[in-house]
Amino acid sequence: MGLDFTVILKNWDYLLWGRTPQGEVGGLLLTVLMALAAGFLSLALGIAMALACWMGPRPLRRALIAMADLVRSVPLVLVIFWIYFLVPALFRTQIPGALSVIVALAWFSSGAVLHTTLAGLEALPRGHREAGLASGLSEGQVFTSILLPQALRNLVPSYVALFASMIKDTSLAFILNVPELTMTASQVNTREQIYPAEIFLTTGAVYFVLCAGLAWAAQGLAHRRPLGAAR
Amino acid sequence: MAFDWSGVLSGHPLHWLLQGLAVTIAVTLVAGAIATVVAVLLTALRLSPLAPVRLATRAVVSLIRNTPLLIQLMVWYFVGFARLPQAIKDVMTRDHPWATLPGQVSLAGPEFVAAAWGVGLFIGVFLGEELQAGLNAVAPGQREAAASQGFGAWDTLVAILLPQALRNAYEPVVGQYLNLMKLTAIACSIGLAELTYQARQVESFNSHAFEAFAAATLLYLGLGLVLERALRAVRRA
Amino acid sequence: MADAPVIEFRDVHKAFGTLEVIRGISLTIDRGSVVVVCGPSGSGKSTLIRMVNRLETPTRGEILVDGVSSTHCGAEALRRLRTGVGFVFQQFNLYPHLSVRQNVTLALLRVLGQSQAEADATADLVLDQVGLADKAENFPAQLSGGQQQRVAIARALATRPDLLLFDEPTSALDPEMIGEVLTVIRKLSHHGITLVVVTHEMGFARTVADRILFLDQGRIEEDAPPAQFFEAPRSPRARQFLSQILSPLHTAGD
Repeated sequence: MGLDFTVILKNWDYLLWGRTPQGEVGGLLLTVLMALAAGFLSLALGIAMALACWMGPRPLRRALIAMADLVRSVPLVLVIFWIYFLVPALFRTQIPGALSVIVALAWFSSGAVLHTTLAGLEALPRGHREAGLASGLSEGQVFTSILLPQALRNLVPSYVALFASMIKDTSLAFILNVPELTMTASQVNTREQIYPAEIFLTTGAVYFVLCAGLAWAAQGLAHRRPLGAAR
Repeated sequence: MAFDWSGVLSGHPLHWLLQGLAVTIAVTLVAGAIATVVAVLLTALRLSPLAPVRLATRAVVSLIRNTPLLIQLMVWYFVGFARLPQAIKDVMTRDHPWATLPGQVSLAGPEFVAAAWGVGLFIGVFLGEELQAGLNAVAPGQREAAASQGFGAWDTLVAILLPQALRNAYEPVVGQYLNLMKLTAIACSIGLAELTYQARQVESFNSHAFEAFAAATLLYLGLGLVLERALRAVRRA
Repeated sequence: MADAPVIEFRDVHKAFGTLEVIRGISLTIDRGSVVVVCGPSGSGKSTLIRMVNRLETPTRGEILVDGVSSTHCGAEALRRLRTGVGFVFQQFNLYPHLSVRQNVTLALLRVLGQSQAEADATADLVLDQVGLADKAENFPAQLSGGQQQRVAIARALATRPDLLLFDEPTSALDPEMIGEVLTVIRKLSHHGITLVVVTHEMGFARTVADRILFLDQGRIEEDAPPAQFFEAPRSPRARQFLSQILSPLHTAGD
């Protein structure tokens, strides 16, 4: 194959954290930070929507699901461009590329969180809700103290899997020249010119270790018996 | 905020957008065909009696699922293309007027080939997973019935198991093809002049960001609807 | 060759892990005979006939079908053997995505390489034989259990086998449909095809079978023509089984 990985050894720090020492967070560090930020945002938004769908009137549920599906009917790349070009037009301020990507990712993924969370709630045995109501709890109390905690615990593996997707999607920040891992790898490639195989294969390997590791963790978590299942 | 639709729906911008649409459609079709072949192949390989084959298949699937599509496209574009034999590279970089899409995009060029192959392989893996799930839901008695009649492994798969697997997994399978169409947008990063790329071109040409992206969005939505209708029509056939 | 046995079991053993299900069975089945295999649950009767066309593989010994070892033959030979042996499952196992006609013709077209015309002609014949000629274009989901099982029999007949194996063909049917399936099987017994039927239906056994094999805990405990089996069984287990089958309430409290 004739691969020479010294180029990786020369640039490993740049790939890992970009120009962070100079004050501009980048590289794998930026990738993980963006994924975490987008992950938390999409989780909050998705679960909030799921709550509204579950407790609210049917028309609201239909509207929320339709909106979520509409965003997902369009390429994520396009959603990123929308946020990047439209927010300045609406709010008269320029926002950094990384923030655009985080918002776009969070918005896009919140639909997946919504569907997953609803599925998790629906998978709970109906008896739990009825038992709660029978002992005098209100619908809201039944939801927050009985259904939601169980559903969330069962859903942890699914959320971890969504987070792994998030990590992969941060690579699209490349299109806005945000210096996360894919961009830094591309910069190294442009600078060095003759080592694309070593650079991109290594970058792929880094993502692989991260995402495969998360997927493996998700599987391990999923094998715990789900709460609420009959013995 | 005043919208200037004529800035986008006439002259060069309109041409560019339509050219981009044509390229997106072409990539989607070619990648879709590749994905279908890859999915069936992976499913067949996973049924192989040879353990090394099954292991290798799982390894490849894991590799493709757990790396970003963008990185895979870059690997195919920068690394894959560079390592092709010179003769093939020459064919790919030459002009082929009969195989050129609107906007001077050559069907044999490295951008198109890397995009179609990269996206096709990626979705092929996910499609294979859905097919496998559909297969697992087929009653075990079906395999026995086929065996008892003397069917070989390939005939059993094609005539008895796959049709039922497809019925079981129809919604997710349609979803994957729609996904494929949306993922072609990522190919703008390797220079393929598809719809998203052209929308950016329009934006940098006359700064009509909203109108350009709105037009692109509507075209993607329309394309998605057409694709979904077409796939459902296939089911009825 | 006409007098050679259709099936020959040679010291056949079968174990699933440490559980021994068939413990040394040797016997032959003559061409054209109608054999009923019966016995309590877990006696191994289904496993016994499933080993004939190698849906299960013996752990020891071998089975010969028309002189060819189904246990040791290669993949190609096994496929050929299986086209000569019809198998009817307890759960019918019809192909749900195909019509009745297509269920019957699929193997003819893809395994035997017949033309569409040939296959269709055969399908018409066998569907008529089982009384379902008018259901040819229906799908399995539209048929009752009894009708589905009759289609399964037609499917098995289509390849013109010399041997038909039935694995509890009526056990999954509602009582009112058992009769229509047993009638079809009884009619087949007049055609000279060898039939081996695993079943609990003792009335059928008494009137249709030439020979009854009683299996208990993996061994043949009784091997006799119906008259002898029902009037004067020699083995105590067979006697116990018969008394339980024929008057279940009577023996329940003993």
